Amino acid sequence: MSNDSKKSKKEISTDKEIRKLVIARLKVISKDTIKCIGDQGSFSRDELIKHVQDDDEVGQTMERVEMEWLRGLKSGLVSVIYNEQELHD
Amino acid sequence: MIDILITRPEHDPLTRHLSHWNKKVKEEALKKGYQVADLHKEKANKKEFEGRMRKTAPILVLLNGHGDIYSICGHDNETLVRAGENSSLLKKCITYAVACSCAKVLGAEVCDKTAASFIGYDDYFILNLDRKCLANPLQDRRAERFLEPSNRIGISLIKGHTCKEASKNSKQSFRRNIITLLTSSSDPEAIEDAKDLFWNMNHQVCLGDGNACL
Repeated sequence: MSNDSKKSKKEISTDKEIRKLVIARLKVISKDTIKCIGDQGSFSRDELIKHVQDDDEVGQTMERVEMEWLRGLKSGLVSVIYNEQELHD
Repeated sequence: MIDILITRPEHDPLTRHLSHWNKKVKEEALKKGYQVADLHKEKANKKEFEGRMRKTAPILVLLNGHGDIYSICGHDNETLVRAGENSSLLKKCITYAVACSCAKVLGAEVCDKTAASFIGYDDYFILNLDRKCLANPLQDRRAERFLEPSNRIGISLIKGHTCKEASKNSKQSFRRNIITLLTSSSDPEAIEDAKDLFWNMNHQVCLGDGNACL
């Protein structure tokens, strides 16, 4: 196996951190939540937690969504959204 | 003569919610005097879809269902339109598709070298529902946060806005809902829903002729 195909320790650690964050968020939401992720299916809260723990396709989608949100927050998403909304109101 | 064609499959929680919430778009169209072909449940099949598109050539097509980068599906996930097969059916109209990822290849193909317009999503469309409202989707205040902005596209087009304006109105609605959630301290679902609304908003694209309107 080439070194290029191995994730760096830092990347593995970041992935783990993201998974922990996603699971922590999921544990707070209502048990009555059903999340529909397109054609991947519809999932209960506990099913989603399992998918994230298993790091399968559904779990990885959840992580992508989380990463996009975190990148947005880092780049000042909140003020951008507020400013854009003020312009339109 | 049909002006607007809507597909409303209903075979799982997502499509059932989409179907019920799209009734509001259909009502708006009828109020404005448009003729609407409503392909509901089993009628949202390929034979019916292709037949209606060829015979009636609607100016606006609202497709609800699952999809992938190449295709959009109807009831029981039967493919209705696929890139490289029958995408030419959409080349003379405005299409809004709530179907995952279909804007990526199918939408691009529809708008290639034509005056067509295609509003859709280039990745998954996420919808959070309340299990207690599965039997009454229109009572679902949680799903409303996601489906009201989505409906805004069809409603804006029906009111005469351009495709670009319809997409802008939809994204404004997403933003408004995100802001409301971010300022809510009592809702445990607030951040989860805000995150998914942000995702949907970012992945909505308007391809082709943005100035097209009904």
